[in-house]
Amino acid sequence: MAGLQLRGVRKSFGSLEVIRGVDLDVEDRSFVVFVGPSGCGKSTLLRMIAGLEDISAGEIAIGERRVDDLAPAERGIAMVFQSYALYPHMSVRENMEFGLRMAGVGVSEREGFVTRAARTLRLDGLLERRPRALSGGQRQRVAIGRAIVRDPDVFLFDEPLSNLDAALRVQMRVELARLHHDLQRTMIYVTHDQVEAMTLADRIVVLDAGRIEQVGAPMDLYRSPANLFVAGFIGSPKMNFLDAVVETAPDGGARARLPGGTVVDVPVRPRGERATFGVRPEHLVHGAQTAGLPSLRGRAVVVERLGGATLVHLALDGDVTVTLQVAGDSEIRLDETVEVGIRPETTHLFGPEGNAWPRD
Amino acid sequence: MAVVRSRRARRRIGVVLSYAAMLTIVVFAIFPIVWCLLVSLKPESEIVSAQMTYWPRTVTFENYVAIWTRSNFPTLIMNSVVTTTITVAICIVVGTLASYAISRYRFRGRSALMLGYLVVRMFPAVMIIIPLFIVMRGFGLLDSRLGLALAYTTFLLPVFIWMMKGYLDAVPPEIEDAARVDGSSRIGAMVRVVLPLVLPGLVATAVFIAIGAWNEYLIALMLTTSTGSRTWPVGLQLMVGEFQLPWGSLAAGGIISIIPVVVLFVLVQRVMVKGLTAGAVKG
Amino acid sequence: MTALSEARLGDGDRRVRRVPHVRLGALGRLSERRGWAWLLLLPSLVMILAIILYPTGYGLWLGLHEMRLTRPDRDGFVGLKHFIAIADDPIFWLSLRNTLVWVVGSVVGELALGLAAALVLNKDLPGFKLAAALVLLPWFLPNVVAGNIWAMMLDPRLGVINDVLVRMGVLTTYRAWFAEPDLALAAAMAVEIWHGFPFFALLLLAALKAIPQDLYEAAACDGAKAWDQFVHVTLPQLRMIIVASVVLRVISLVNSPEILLILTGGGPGRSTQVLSLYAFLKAYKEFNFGYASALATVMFLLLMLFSWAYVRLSNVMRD
Repeated sequence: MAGLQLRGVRKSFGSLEVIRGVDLDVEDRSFVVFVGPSGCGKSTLLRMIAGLEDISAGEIAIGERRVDDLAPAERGIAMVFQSYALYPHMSVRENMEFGLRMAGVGVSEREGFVTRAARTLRLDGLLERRPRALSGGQRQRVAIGRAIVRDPDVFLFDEPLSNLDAALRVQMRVELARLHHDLQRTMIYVTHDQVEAMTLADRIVVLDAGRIEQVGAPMDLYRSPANLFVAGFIGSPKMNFLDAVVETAPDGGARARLPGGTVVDVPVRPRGERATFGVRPEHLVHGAQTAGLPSLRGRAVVVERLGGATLVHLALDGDVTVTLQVAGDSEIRLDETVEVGIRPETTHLFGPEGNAWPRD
Repeated sequence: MAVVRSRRARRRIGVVLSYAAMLTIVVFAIFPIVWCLLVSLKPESEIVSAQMTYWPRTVTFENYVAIWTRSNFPTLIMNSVVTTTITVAICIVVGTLASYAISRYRFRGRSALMLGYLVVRMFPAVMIIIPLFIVMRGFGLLDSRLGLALAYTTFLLPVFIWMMKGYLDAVPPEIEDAARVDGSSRIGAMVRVVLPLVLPGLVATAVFIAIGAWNEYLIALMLTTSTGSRTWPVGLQLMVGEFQLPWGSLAAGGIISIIPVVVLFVLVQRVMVKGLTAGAVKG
Repeated sequence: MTALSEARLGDGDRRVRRVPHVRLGALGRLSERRGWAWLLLLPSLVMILAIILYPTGYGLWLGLHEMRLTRPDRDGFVGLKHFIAIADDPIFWLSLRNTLVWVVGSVVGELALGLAAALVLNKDLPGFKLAAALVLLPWFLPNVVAGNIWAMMLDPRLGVINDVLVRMGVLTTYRAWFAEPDLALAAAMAVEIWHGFPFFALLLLAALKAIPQDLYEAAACDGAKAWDQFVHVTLPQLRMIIVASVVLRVISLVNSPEILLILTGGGPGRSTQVLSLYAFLKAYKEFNFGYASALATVMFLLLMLFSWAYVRLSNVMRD
């Protein structure tokens, strides 16, 4: 009922185009995350949806309403800002009531909404405090509470967790996911953190340089990234990329020859002779499992022990490095020579222009 | 142990020297004001006696009574109050709108405009006074409090805009964005969120402007000719020059007229200093 | 999560809207339009145009005209006549010389004293905040009061300064500070320095407080003594603000004759007559508006020239 449609949306500052034509349909009640490196235009796009930035071309609709000519106030949205942007001169209660007052909601009703939202967010005892008397996490809750109380068609979040410390960030991430489940409202969430994107989103929109690179469910993006950019951006640690020379295999698949001569039959249709071969560190195998698989050999130049997992950076011949993720208790040591096996079904090939070659 | 003691001793000497230097500067700065106060409390006979007295032998308020009741000083003060009020009112309305626009919007010619507001300060007062005299005469505003207030706006409005812009810049734009998303229009966000947040700065700026208008002498001297609009600096100076105003009365008049300045300054000094030095801190 | 479920409203596809959509009023909507910034600027632009730019233009125009309120029959365009007359006017040259002495002396004195005050007050000791506020007071005093207090204190017969100096043995007899041509300008400068040094103290103190403490710690680690720290850390950090505040102060000193008008009226003789005072008296006493405007124009041009050269020079010296 209150989805969101963007059609040919563009934004330019003078001759500099920062949003270069975005088409997007957001389903009602879905949680959509805009993710991308800094400067990719994700925040600008969010602010355009909010109406805080004019659009240079295109259309935006919320529900069935065309909103791009409406003021932010009239769009029926609520927004949580990175800096929380609480009104410093108002108490928590007044902060949360502000939107209701603007919408002409009566005093007694306001009271009810605020009390309920405050209980939900465990802000009960803090309603008469000023924002500066709150901790970072509490301010964050007030900002979210202020948005909930408005009962908006669409929630907008602009990197809301990036000012919190790591532990609190994880906790708030969980709460946001629960909030979305309980409220059943459309939420659009901007972050540069792909972990937040993966964990929160129904659908992820990957942006780069003002363009949408790919839209899809988190695991779809992880399993079949549409291009090099998405492949490199989604997933941590980053996907390994190697140059490859490609020929057609007898079964019609792509036979990729990697530096060092290793040959992998990738189950995609070949589209040319040169490609970038991609495989995720967690998909490489090591030890006994390598038997019968195409393999790479390298010297361990860095070993990062994260506890649950260990990352091993291998230097192959010819100035190429590959990262391998193994179990936390792995006994690989620095300078050890390591053989890793490649399972062909987990690999990708990307053409010279960066696009993934499609699987059969 | 000896080293520690000597270091502590040296630090103590340093503190003593710091206080000595600080007191010297404070005495230098405020001695003339204190002296004026002391003179205003002495009887005339004591002021003119060849034997200098520092502390009044007898404290009297007769000088204050004299300047207030036996001259047109109350009228002068009233004229100044009216002129200053009009000036401040114009600056608050016109200047707040302008400084908000300059602080919040990026538009073509913005920096040129800011520079322009600064350059107008370089025009010599005399260069503006003469045309203002002629123009005001044409409009019948010569020798009027409104005319004088308008003339004051020439040099105080740019100051107001610059200073106010500094305070406005300190309010994060996201707070205003939040208000707009929350259902406020742009002007609603300005009135309900931005202005309450800059209120201390607005008051400090207004006080700074008020002091400037209250103290002004040269333009008032040129543009006012009668007691109907003459401000206290002009009137007081005329009394000194033409009627050989006795020192006691002069000192009392001076004290009366700087009381509002000192009181207002004390009230907003902290915020005002922050605003005046915003540029110095940024470098 | 019962509370949250409570907060949820409107099950199914059709949800009931609890909070109505906002509709902005006419003014609110106007404020969302693109031209709003200009609308906000409009009143100030009109005022600046009407009461600053127009009069200034008029002032420049007047400099090319004869305009004496006492002799209206002579009014009319005279071209550069006034400027040629100015070049030949010995009083102009004298006033220019006095202006130079007055401005340079006052600014140097104010800067030195202001810097000293800022360094002294930049301590985190009890009472120093109050002191910093008190030191600002002279700057906020009206010229009329400041001038007359000092006139009182410097009085040849009853002035407290004469008394103090004689008691201290600096002077043997009372002096008439404003009666001797050589002394008058110096005495007036002393008054101006007292009146204006808080301006520098204010800005320099703020700039001092903004210098990161680790710069000093780094310098101390490198073995810099107090004086080295002052020369190599403090002064470079203050450079920009000193340059800027000196320009501002010079402009206001050149433009405003108030304190001299009150203290000496330009006398004795013309020993304290500065350009702004000369121009003002031409207008105020003689109603010779044309000539006064020409003088003001010359002042303005000299100020522009100075500001440009000064800023250029201080940039060159940095490189």
